[in-house]
Amino acid sequence: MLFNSRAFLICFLPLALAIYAIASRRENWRLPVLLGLSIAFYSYWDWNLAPLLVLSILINWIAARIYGRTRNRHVVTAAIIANLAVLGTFKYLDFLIANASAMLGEQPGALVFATTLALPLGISFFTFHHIMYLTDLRDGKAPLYDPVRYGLYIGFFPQVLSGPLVRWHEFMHQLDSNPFAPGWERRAVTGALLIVLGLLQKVFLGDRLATVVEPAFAAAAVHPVAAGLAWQGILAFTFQIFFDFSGYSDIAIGLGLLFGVRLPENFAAPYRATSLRAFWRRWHMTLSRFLRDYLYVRFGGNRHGLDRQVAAVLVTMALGGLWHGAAWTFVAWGLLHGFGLAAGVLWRARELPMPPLVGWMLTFVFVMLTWVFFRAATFEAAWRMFDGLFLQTEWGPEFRWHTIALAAVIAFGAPPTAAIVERLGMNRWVAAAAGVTLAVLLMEIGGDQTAEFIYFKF
Amino acid sequence: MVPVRDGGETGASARNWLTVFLTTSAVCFFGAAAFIVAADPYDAGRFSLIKMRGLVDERAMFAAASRGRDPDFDAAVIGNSHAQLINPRRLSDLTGRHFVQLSMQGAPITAQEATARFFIEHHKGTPVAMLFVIDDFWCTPGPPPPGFPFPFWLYGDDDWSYLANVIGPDGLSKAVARVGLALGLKERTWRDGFDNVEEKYSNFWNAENFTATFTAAPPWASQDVGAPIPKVDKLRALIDRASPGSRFALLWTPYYVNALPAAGSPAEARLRECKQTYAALAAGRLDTAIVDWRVRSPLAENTGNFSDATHVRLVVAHMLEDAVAPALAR
Repeated sequence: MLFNSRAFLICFLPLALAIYAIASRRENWRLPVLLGLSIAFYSYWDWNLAPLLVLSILINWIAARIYGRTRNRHVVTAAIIANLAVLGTFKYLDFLIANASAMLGEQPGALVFATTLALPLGISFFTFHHIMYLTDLRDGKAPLYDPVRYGLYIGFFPQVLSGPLVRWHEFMHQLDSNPFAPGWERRAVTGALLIVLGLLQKVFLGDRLATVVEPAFAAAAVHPVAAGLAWQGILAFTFQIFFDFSGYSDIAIGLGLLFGVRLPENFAAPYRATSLRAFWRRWHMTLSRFLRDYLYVRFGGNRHGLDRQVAAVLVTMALGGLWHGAAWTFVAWGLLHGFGLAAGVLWRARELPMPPLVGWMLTFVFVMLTWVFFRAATFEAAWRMFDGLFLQTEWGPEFRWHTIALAAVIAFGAPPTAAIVERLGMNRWVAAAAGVTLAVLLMEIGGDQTAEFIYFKF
Repeated sequence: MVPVRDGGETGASARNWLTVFLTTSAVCFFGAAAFIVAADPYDAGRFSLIKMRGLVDERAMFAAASRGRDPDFDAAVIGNSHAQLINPRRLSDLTGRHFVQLSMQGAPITAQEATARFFIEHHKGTPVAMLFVIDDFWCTPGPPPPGFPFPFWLYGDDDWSYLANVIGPDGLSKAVARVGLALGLKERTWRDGFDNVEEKYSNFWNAENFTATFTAAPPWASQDVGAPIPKVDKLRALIDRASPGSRFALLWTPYYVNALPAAGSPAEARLRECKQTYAALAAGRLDTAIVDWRVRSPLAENTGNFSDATHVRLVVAHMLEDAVAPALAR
């Protein structure tokens, strides 16, 4: 079920809230009911995949219990490897087979065989949740939890599909509070505003920009692209992916608040960053934290000299790229960001100056151009886009700049959504405007074709 | 974390906020939804409170629902842009029937089938006449390529799908237009569906531009010699749904000679196979005729007869009307 669908907003959400409110009157019912609602939400998409989520929760919980009794670190290590193996099977096996067959001299694309397994929704995200908890458990930082609480940490429906990647210590204690205790209305107001603003970003910016992006990258997949088409394609994608994912994150955070859980922020005006390091502290912030704490730091971080730090950055970002999708284009995207971050490390090590405006321009242009590898399905398509951007002299079709310009103004000028929500306050005119906006959004999102969030396929 | 102000005020103002928010959104959305459904924006005859006919919508794929269920018409032209210049008024004069144009540019076979089925279902008990303009797309073995945004929900039986789709910005604007029509503020879109595209596109449809476009069959023509032609079964099933006494004609319109498949080519063999398949369908029924003008002829060699390599001009469309009329006459 998509957050941006009428089925979710008109049926599931009010029903789930009502059921949860009733269940909250009996403390021992509340969390099992919330877990049941979360699994129902996950199953709506494809009930065949629900057992995978349930088994994943149970097996990891059992591994944690065994570790709790035996203190055998190998149990946790084995569980982490098993999680990565499941993720690898669903997400990377065909990629590995394709590369292996290419190395064996087969024609590119002619696999020895392919599993064609469907990628279970959210697997990349709930695998990382397991890893964060298990790693901290092994390090003595995390306690043991009962299966319902652990199940909610993994499967809580607002964040199960695409995060935010929340840490157990940010999440678990919130389950102990009655979500409908006095004061819940204020949290609900914030949640409702975030949902409306998130939907606005997705529906009126992300989805509209997608109609500009798709023709450009579809053309690049098969033939050279005119300069105007390439520029509008990459500019539109730069803002599309931001508003699509930022919109999703705001909805997820807003839904969390309705159910009594504050999820961490994921975006903080990233396109205003004046360095690549600052960009990654503002873009998909919860993934950045994960990459920093569970990869970069464990690869040595900045504790073993400049060479090791640069290597740690490169490996971390390459793996971060691969996490997004099973293709070398994602690895290239991650590696390029790794090189960019490494250049920043060396620049700062030499204490060279960087005026903020120059830093901002360099950062934005770098991020925009590297999105080409993120969006293009193949390197050939990516090269055609670069060819269109810098070498083609034919301008091509009319430049569809209206939505791009609006998106740019908001991305560069508007504060993060959380800050907007804080400023809006309890004014009833704001409430009425938000209500009308939600009605307009509900009108807009009807029909048989609901646009998925980009990060759902990761 | 998102800051949530838990300050000293009571929750009363937040409760008021939520009440205003939920009431406004519910009233606006469900009010607009009820208005759209009651106004029947595409004149599809579903859940309608406005008892009037016609609509304000020039898009053939939407307007065909209103036209297709109009009881004043007992005959229809089904096809894509290759059928658009068939004039229903002239065909009506020639046959003694009342023809409506239900063809639409770029319509895949699935859309043509849906429109034809809709017309037949809304004329149960009436013997109808139908002209199907058959082209290369009726010969391909696979499904049509995606991309044509045909509103199948408007022509199907699923009320939930209809409601899910009709409630939206387009439905709202067309519902407002329908109310304008009811109040006499708007003019009804022409009824019989004929759109003189030759006049409309005269700027870019000219002989100089197209003669070199093809040197053989168009790229979308099937070359899968020996492959099944499942669309013939769909057409047969469609025809069988019509009321007894109905008449049908299957028309192959002419192509400019450059767009005809080269002699001995797979495309030519496939076209022959396809023509034989549809001819066999017609031969097995007394109510169905086939008219084949997709042949090499002096007409096919004259650029003056064509708007582009596969679309005839009005002058040829009139000849085609004359050719099919005997098969469809009352």
